[in-house]
Amino acid sequence: MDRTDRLWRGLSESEELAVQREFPMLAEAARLDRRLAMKLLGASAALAAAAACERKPGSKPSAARGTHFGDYARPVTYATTLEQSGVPIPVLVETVNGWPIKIDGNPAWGTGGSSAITQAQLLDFYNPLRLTRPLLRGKPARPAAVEEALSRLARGGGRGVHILRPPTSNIAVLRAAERAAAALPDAQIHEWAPILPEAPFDPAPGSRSILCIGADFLGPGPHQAESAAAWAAWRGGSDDRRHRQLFVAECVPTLTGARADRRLRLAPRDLLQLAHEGGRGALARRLGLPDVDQVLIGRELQDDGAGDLLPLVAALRRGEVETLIVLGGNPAYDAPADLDFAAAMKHAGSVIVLADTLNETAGGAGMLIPEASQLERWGEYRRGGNRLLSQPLAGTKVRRWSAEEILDRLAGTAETAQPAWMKAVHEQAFAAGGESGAAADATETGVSVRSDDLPDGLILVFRPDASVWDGAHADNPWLQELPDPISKLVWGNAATVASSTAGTLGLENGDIVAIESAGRRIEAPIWVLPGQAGGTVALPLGYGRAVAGLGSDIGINAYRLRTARHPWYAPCTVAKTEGRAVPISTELHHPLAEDVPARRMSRRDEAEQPAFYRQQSESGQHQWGMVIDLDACIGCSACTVACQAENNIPVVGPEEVARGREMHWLRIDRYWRGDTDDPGIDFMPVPCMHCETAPCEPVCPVGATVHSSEGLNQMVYPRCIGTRTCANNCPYKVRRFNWFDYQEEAPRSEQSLNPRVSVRERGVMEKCTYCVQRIEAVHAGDKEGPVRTACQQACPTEAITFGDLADPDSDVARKRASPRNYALLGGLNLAPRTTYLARREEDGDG
Amino acid sequence: MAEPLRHPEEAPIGPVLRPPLARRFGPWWRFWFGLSLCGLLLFVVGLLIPLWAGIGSWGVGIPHVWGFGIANYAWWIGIANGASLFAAILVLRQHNLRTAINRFAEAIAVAAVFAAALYPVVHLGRPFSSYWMFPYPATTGLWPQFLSPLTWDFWAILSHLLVTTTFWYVGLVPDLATLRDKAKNRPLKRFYCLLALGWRGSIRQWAFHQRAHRLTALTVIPMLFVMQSAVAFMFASTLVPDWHSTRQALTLTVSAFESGLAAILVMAHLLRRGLSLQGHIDDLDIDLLGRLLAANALVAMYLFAGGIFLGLLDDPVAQAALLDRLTGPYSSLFWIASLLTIVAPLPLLWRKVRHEPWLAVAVGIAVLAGTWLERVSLVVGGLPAERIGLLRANYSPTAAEWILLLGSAGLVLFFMLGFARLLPTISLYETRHDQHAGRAA
Repeated sequence: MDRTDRLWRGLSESEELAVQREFPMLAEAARLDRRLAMKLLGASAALAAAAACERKPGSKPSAARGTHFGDYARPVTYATTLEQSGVPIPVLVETVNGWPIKIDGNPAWGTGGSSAITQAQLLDFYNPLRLTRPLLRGKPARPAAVEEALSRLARGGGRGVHILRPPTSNIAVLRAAERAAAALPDAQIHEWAPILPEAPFDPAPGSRSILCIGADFLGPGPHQAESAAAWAAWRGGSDDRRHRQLFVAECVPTLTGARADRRLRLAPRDLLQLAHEGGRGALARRLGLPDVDQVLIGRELQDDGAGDLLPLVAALRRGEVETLIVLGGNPAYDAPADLDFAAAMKHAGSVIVLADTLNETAGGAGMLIPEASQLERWGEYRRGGNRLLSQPLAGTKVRRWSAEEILDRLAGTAETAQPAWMKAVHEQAFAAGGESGAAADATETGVSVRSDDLPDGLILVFRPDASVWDGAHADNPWLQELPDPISKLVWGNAATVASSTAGTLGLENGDIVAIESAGRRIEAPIWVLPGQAGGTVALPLGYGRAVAGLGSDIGINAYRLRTARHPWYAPCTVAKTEGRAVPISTELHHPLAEDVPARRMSRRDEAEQPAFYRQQSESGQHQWGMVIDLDACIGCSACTVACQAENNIPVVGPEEVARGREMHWLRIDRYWRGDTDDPGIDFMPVPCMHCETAPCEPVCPVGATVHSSEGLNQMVYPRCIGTRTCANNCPYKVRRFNWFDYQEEAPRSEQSLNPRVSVRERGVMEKCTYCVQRIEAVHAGDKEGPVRTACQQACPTEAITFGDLADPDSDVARKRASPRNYALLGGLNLAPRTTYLARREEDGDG
Repeated sequence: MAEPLRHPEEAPIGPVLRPPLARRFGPWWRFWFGLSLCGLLLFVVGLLIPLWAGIGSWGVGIPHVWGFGIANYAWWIGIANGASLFAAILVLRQHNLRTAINRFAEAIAVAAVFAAALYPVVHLGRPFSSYWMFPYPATTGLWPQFLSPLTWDFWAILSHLLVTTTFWYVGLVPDLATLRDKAKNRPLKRFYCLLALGWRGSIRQWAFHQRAHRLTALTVIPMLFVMQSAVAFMFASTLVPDWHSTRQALTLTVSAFESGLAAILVMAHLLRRGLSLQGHIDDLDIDLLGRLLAANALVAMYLFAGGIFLGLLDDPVAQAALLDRLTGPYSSLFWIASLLTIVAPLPLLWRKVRHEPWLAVAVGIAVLAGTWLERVSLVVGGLPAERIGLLRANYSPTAAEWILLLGSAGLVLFFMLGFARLLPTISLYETRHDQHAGRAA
């Protein structure tokens, strides 16, 4: 602003006069006399003392009306490690005022991407049902009672003591277990997890073609982000034109199958045969498979079922178990149905359970010990040749225990030593070297394919669930509301069948069927899934929990049919019943008026197509834009949950989703391509397009949605009166409306909210902002550039690129100039700032 | 107090004058009035539910962000427009019918505008901020967005409300004076006295009145076209393929006219029978109304055929949208609506049907239902007309929406009954004028 024409007389004039005129009282106060000086001195001392008081967590960061940054503090990011199914995952946790608000992958390890489950683990920390006190026969007890009980056991020599723990790579736990085993020579330690993780994708050097037999390495699981990154690197970066081929043989469509260059729909029996033949035998020839460089065989074809649980259950039934100590996990829910662990547990003299929240196993415990969150404890993990470290980054006043603490108490150690490697922790949470490869994954070495004797007829296929995994995440609302990547089902599961099978059995979506296998029977709704092999019924595990907070009684418990002998494939019969209950799926929500929204492009066309690039017209220094590479997207939905965490997006519940009211700012559309029985599968993440000629803007009667000089289509929450016209006029259907006061009605711990993002009130429209808070944080010098959106940060395959289009050298500008670049609904001339890169496909192939 | 007017012949206007001045009004009136009070209560409940619980209590979602609320609004405003337009044309043409019909046509219009005007407010996410649609000098320096068809619509509703009530009131003034003079009951006399604005019946006043009445009638007509076009623009200006059409304004205006006529036809029959006004609303009037409605249906038929014909020649997206409207998940709404608005009124081409009250009323109600379904089909059925995912209908109104619809009907009924009770249902001074004119001839 040019101020040279202002008239003034002396340097001291202006401010003093202005203060006197505007604030006479203040001007008066500024004249210090002795009394006032004393008053101020006293007050300052008093206030200085008050600053030491901890501030009570205040109201939500900011309501739609007005802004309140009372509790705002600069975020601090910690590097630590989370363990999922015994696999350590290096992460960065952003905290504000000592409270974690976001979990992301650690870019020092891999690409820095993460999975939906890793993102959502934030909410587990804030689960209001987490145990705060030990329970002794259902009654709250003092922490000392736990210590007493454990030291009593430590003195007993371990006779009749059986310890059951989930597999872990936490060295602290393993060492404590060794110490405990040494101190209690008669005690026995067992290991149990219902689902073993799929081996990480690790292509052999130089392998150009890979055949996956039932191996869903891109699917849910602890290795998902890492495998996805490895896959993306193998497939080739966005400009790499080298020819890599992935063949996937599977019976139920998975994320890996969706990204296959050729997907083979096989019945479980053929799958087993193919695996036995190592992908090179007669069947492979009949299927027309070329000779591939590498064959990956899925966990389901190797896993041998009950693991350590069989001897434990036998001991329980013989009455040999005096004390059963369950250190995490939920065997009463997820143990094979034929073992009937819950009933066997009753034979134990006493049961001690370490659990985060009340669950099925904890229900049968004499003593229930609250488990410390992974964000509250130290840890040290082995991973290949590296040691990964975890550190407590959230303070808590509640006494909770970790598995190693309990094992140490059993070993008679009074105090669990804290590691001394603080420096490594603060820097990157992993240290190279150390003990290498001692606990290398068994799956990486020898492969032994199990021999299931599968008869003719219907085969029941068990699947880990993309949201709740083995059931451990059933009470995580973000994951419950996250649509399954393939079926798009939310808040529950269903028995999926191929349309041919549905035709034979006379079934349609929502019919309830009775599924009988090995003499056990459950009822489940049917969901017809294109791409599934005929003659199979697939059931995702992890639902139908009886005691799981908000996840209780949601969906069907598939474990009730899962036996030790047939953990993944089981013969079954299906009979239609009278009932109907249509599962909730978002697959038809947010329709787009375009025939082929998710495009593919052959490599030949890519070489010929001229690029189309539009100049921006806005005046701002930066022109933000996003390019989403459909060739890299695997549909894993990590971006959706990352966006939800970053932007304080509420969860609305199943009834609301059924009405088309889910709030995800970034959704992933899944398209089937072609044939109804054996279709191709395409994924398309759809955030706000930030159109340059945005159709939502001129229709708002109060101007609540406007354009910024940097090309952002902004939503002004306090100005919105909720006519919803903008949503009507948005052809991409990316606008979300607060039909109820979702944030209030499903209260979420206020500390878990991102203080940089306001909480929207009832009756207000909202949508993707391109993480404007992150842009502004960089503008304000609060964070270092370049700006990365939450979805971009979470994406394990780096499919999302965000940046400044005005800078021709930026990644986003470069990608936009790619011949694969296209605008969704380009015919409407809306000049969207978000564009897509078409998925590559082989020349002349489907 | 003004000097009492002299009326050479008072007998013929007796039946018209009787209701407002009567002490009691009979059990039937009380029954209907009680019913309308229940309706009014429903209306209040229907307003409170979304205000209290949130607009989520309606069945709306995405993509159906507008549902019953906007459909009902468009329907009521259509009735209001049709009725107003009809009344205004009668006044301007000094048609014979005007004596009989224009007063209650105007009353229907006023009642329907009130019922309509509340919908766009209550359907908002934050109705308490709806005043931001007003261009007032706020400290924030913010103004409404004048590009938005919703802003135009807001102005259209506001002007409609003002013009319709002015039109109605101006026409009422001389009759209010008559009632003032005839009223025996003192509070009632005061009431009419206030409303009559000191009307004395001087030649000068009559001259002014005639001019004012015709002038307001004149303003009504263009305003109504603007009004219906504004409603249509709310749809036509969007990118939704089925809505994005210049025909929208014409179709809506014609169907509004039709619903207005139907409402008048039904009311005319009911009043004729209920208040024994056979002499005032005579067979000729009824006959003309019936013919007008039938003629209107023929115009609607022309537009329907033209719409389909042109739609099929349109670009592929619009074509697909039209086909979806005709065969999609909400197509039954569309076909029933078309049947009711185009085919149902055609029997009125026969004299016998026009003069059989129950048949005519049935046709009128069918047309009202048809135009309502047409609005629902437009608001709800127009949306899935996007090419992927037209597999199922996912909008269904909730109880809260039905309550508000019934409640708004209750509001209109309440208004009409109050009108029949307190004010002359047909124009007294024009009836007198007709009698004089008749005698002079």
